[in-house]
Amino acid sequence: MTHHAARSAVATAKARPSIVVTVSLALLGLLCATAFASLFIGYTPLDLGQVTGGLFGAGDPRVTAIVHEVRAPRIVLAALIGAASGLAGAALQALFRNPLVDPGIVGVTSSASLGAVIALYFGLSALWPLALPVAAMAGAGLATLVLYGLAARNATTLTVVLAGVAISGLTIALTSLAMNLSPNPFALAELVDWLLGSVKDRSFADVTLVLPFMLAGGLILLTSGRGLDALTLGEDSARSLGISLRRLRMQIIVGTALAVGSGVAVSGGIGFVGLVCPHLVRPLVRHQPRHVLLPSALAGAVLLVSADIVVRLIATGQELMLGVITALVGAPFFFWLILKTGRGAPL
Amino acid sequence: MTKADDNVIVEARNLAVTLGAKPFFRSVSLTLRRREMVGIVGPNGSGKTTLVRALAGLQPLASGSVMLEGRSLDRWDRRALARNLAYHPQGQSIQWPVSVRRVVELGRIPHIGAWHRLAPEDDKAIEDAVRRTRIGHLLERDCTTLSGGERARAMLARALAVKAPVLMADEPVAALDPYHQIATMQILHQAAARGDCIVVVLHDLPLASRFCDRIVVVAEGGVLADGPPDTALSSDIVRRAYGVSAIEGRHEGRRYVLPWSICPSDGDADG
Repeated sequence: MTHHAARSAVATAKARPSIVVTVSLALLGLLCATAFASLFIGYTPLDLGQVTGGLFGAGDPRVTAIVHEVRAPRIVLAALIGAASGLAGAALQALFRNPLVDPGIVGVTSSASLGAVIALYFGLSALWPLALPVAAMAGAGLATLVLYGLAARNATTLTVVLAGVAISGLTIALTSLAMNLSPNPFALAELVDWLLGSVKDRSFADVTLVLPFMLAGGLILLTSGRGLDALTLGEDSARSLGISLRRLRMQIIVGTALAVGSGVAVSGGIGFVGLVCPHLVRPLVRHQPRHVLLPSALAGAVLLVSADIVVRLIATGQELMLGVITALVGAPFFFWLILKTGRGAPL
Repeated sequence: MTKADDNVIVEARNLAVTLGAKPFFRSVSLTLRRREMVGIVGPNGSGKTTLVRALAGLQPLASGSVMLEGRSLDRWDRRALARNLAYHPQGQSIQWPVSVRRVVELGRIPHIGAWHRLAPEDDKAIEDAVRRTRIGHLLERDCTTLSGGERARAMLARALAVKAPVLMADEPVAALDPYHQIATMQILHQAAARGDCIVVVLHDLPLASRFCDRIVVVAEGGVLADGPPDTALSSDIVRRAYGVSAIEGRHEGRRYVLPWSICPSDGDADG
């Protein structure tokens, strides 16, 4: 009887359609709807005919320009950056076996910010437009290198997290130093503006610049699922299942640096998306780390595209910064998570 | 040595492990065979866990080597090694509230490709592990809500699902009630009877003498005794290893030892 029960129970698992596919398709649909809705919102009000006409290049060339050159790039960027953050957050939380980890924690975000601030501070970005993104990615790469150096020496994940905290502390201090020494108020304003994080006034040139890095990083992260699953039972179990922890750590650090670092390069620091998204999708896919990755990326895209709608809808004298909105929503969520973890509730 | 012995599967030669600057144990040699259930016992801090981790290739060695089927562990391909040597760590924590089914499936990781398609062979292994540990009714349960006994069975099923000819379990019966202790030992014993090599770290001497074919007593930085329970767990060795005197008896033809009182003379036995 037990035998029969075991057989049929194992067999039903195969028959069930993949829950990840269902959740991912639903989120993809939601993303398309949100992105389409986002096309309507902005300084110039557009109706359905104008938006669809603009999308396909028919009708008023001015509307087409607004849709193609103003709204579409920011939507695509918001989606890409949100997806990168959501994916990196899911991978990092699984790697560190810690539901409170976020790309910001391992210091990649702040290092990328520092790189960009240096480019702004020394006026490199005025000399060469690409200097800003290149410097940001270099910053992310440097943080990655330091973390990789540690991971290669077989340090525990705790050491890597603490190293990330130290890197964040140092880069934030250096960023503050740059602002402190800023020669003129305009330069300071530029730095602050950039640090707050936004996808406003970006072009498809920005998209094509970051796309290869994001795709490479995303692919690296998405293929780490097996190792992350094995880590569910701890590091020794994972190693005994044939997983190279060193390789897995490196894979996730490099993937995160590419995906998140390049995002920071064009948008500045937009935090908390990577923290929140894995928690949103985890119950839907029954918590398995491998299954959280793709849905978390899609949820990140939906979340950031929606947040970017919100910043344009809230009527203030000046458009709100995207990073401010995500932090205002994300930080209380973080507090709630800490309280929940403290009480020992399952996450 | 025993070159003609075809049953030898793991051979450790002159193992030495240093933790920090201090040598933890030195020159430990062990031969493990198929169809054998080997209990590793010893006082707290004697290095039982370190020894099994070393045998499983998880512990860096200061010197010596561990051979699996005649090949040094570090010359094995990582995944091939994982298919041949399963390890059940002490007190595994489950980070995410995944279902029991998913946990058992993790045992198939060394066998499956990157896209995680379970082949019929994987299903058979999972089914077999589920049947042997009698957790068929728990498969859809969230792992973090299981009782200690249920959890231990799920974890054991995960280790059995690997279908490795060698299974090393570090204190699989710790914190279990007598029912689950005996049930776990029976499952491991059956695995050995089927032809596997089972290594199990234990604190419970009656259980060790009841179920193991062979006992390795780890103490004083090395192997104090290695042999059938009757000789390796003699009162003399129990006193030397633990500083306790034990009651001996026989039941159903098997000798058992039951630690009874602390020996007053060996005040320094606590490690």
